[in-house]
Amino acid sequence: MATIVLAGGFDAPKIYRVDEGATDDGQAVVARLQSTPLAPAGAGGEAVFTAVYLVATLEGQGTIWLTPIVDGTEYTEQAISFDFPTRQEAATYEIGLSRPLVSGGAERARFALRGTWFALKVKAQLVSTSGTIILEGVEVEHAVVQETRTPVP
Amino acid sequence: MARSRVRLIFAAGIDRASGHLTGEAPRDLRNVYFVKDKIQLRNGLTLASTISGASPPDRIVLIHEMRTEAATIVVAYRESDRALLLYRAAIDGASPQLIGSWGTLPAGAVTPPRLLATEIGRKLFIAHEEPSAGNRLQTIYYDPLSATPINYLSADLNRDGTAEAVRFRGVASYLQYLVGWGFGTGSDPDRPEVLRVSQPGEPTSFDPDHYFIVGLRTDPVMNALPGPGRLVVLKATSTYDITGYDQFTFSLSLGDPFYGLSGSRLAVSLAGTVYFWSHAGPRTTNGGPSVDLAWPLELKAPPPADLVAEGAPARGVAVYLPDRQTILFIFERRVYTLSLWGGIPRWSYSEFPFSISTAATIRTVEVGSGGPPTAYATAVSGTGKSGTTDVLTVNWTNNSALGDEIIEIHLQPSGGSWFLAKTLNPSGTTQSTDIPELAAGRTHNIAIRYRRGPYYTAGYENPDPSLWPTQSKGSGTTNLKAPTFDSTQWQRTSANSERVRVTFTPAHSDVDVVIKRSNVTIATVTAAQHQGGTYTYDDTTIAGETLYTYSVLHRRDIDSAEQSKNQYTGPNKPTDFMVSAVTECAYLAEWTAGDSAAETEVEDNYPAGTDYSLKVTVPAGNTQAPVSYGATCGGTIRSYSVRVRHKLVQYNVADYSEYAPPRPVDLCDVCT
Repeated sequence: MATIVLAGGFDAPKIYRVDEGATDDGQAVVARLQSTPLAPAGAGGEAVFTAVYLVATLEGQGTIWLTPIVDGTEYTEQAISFDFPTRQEAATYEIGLSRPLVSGGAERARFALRGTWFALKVKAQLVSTSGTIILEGVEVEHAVVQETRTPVP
Repeated sequence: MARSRVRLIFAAGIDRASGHLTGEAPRDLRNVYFVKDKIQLRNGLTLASTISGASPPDRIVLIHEMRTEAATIVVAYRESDRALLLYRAAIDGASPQLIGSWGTLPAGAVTPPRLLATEIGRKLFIAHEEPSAGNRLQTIYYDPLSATPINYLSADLNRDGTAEAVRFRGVASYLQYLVGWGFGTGSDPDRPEVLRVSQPGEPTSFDPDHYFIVGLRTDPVMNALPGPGRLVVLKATSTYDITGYDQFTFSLSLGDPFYGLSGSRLAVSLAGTVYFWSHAGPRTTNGGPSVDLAWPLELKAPPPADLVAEGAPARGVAVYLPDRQTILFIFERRVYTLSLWGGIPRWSYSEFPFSISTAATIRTVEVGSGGPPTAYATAVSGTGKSGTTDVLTVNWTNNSALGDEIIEIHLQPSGGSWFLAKTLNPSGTTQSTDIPELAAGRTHNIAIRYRRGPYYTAGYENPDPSLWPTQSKGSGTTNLKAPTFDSTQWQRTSANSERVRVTFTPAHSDVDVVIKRSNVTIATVTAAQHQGGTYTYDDTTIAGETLYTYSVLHRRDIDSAEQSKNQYTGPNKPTDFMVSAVTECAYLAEWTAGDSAAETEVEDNYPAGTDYSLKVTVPAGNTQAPVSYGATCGGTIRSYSVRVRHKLVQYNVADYSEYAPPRPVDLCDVCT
């Protein structure tokens, strides 16, 4: 016995099968998530956030966008495109976190993100007509910044 | 500087009032499902079918599974004429086919209409969830095995001897009972607190005394769902529990005095636990006080009044998505998703690009052997059942039938459209069945196909029977009774006109009557003319003094038997004519007058060797005439013949009757 859910259209005499296919009758389904803010060094501490590790099970063609947020400031969005047309693939991605030092209109250097609260905004979308995006886990790599203490002579 | 990794946490919560990120605590979790401890992009909405046609409806207002039929029943609403139309679709929503019209939405009713349905006793009951009983449509039930699949629920609830239309606001099934609420009686219909219970196993039969008064009248019953050993009755601001299993053990108790159901369709029951959306947000109960489901939302804001304030719950619908172990609370485009994986409720939120008006969980079941049947009918014929005029006996041969199919017999009366006349199961090789309540004397085309669940035999899928293979078609005609031929009467109406008045009484008020004279049709009296009553027709195109045979019969697609009478176009002839010899030279002619106003002429062929000649004319009123040729016989006794006829003079015109059959008399051939 299989079970399905059917839905009826409000604006048209259409019957839909719910939770089937990759689009809402041709319109893309876009997932949007934001993680709970995390403070590895504690509410008053400070950390350097160096990378995000994303573990996902993917099938089909699509894109995952990641946007780091440190202390409420959103940094540059980074995109991960995938193409696994035939079967589900478990994939791990490492995305380095940095921000540019711009001087005179040119990027002179990059620095790791540093702050107290870290969160991650995730957007995901399939472009193929079928497929799967499952987020198995997302981790942030960080190092707690400690004060330098001068030895007492 | 040592580096370490920390797992990021999603799904800490969202604002249940808006579903969006607000403030600092809620998190954005759109268009995902939780599957165990993973997050998965939700799948889409795939179009299963679109209802089309010459005048298609505008929106879907109900989808409900019919498990015993392995079919989906769909109700759609058409704005232009406010029509509610029933469709039957395959279990996956494909190929909806029109069953018929439920009715026209009253002018004051809420649009689009909201409906509640339940299946019990192989029937699907559908109630119009309209707050005002005056604007509510009569509750119907779809019976696929009936010749008239859409039936209207009625019961004599006010004990006046007449069944009144039952207009429940909602219906549900519990044990072997149909429960319906929101309707008192025909004379006191608006009773939002009344919940009626049908007779056990008889969902269309109601005892007027079998009802509950569930709390206050100001707090309407919104829905009722089965809980663990009980029926949970969800009112607008409270819940009640009905326990027990029959009229002797049923009892009603208050479950939750503070929380009820904010929208009639915003509740689902899973394994005895009822999840519902109250005025204060989502809650759950399995009897007794309900429990707040808000804690998984990690709310820091006040209770979600926004949805209630904007009226969204009235249009909302809750549905269970079994493969995801998820309940969807759908508010048109917004969907609050409650994941129950691992017994830990977790919320997410989705947005559809278009509005959803209704949804239903469909559990497909195998029916019989499963799949399309291979059976088909041959040798299809029909005959009018003896002794009836409205019953057609249909005969056919079953081929490749396993017995679990449903036979559909479709009829098309001459000049009419195809309709489903009867459904039944196959039995034996040759089979017949009577189809009643047809028009008399009407020829019907017959077409037969076989169905198993939503499937039809290959080649018979089209809803138009005229497109099915000819091997499964035939025809038959119902019988006609003959009219009653009351009388015929000849009359002279002037010096140069006469008529025969034909009087008959039709056997069928809606069938024409044909009048024949000597086997030639002279008139057709239409049903509109005779209207079923005794009818008189005057035939003025007659020749005088001629014997005709008049006939009357009913004619539609066939002719009935004829009823006939002979009529002579002149006065009636004398009867009981006798002749007796008085002497050897005299006789006495006696008769009974055929027309008391007419004279009578006596003729004989005396003397021998002559033809008949008039011997005496007797005035009207006389019934005998003596005729004498002398007193003494001087010859031989011979046999002669005597005859009589009437002569009627009207408007100075003489009309003659036929002769009465001649009689012999022995007379002397020489009388002096």
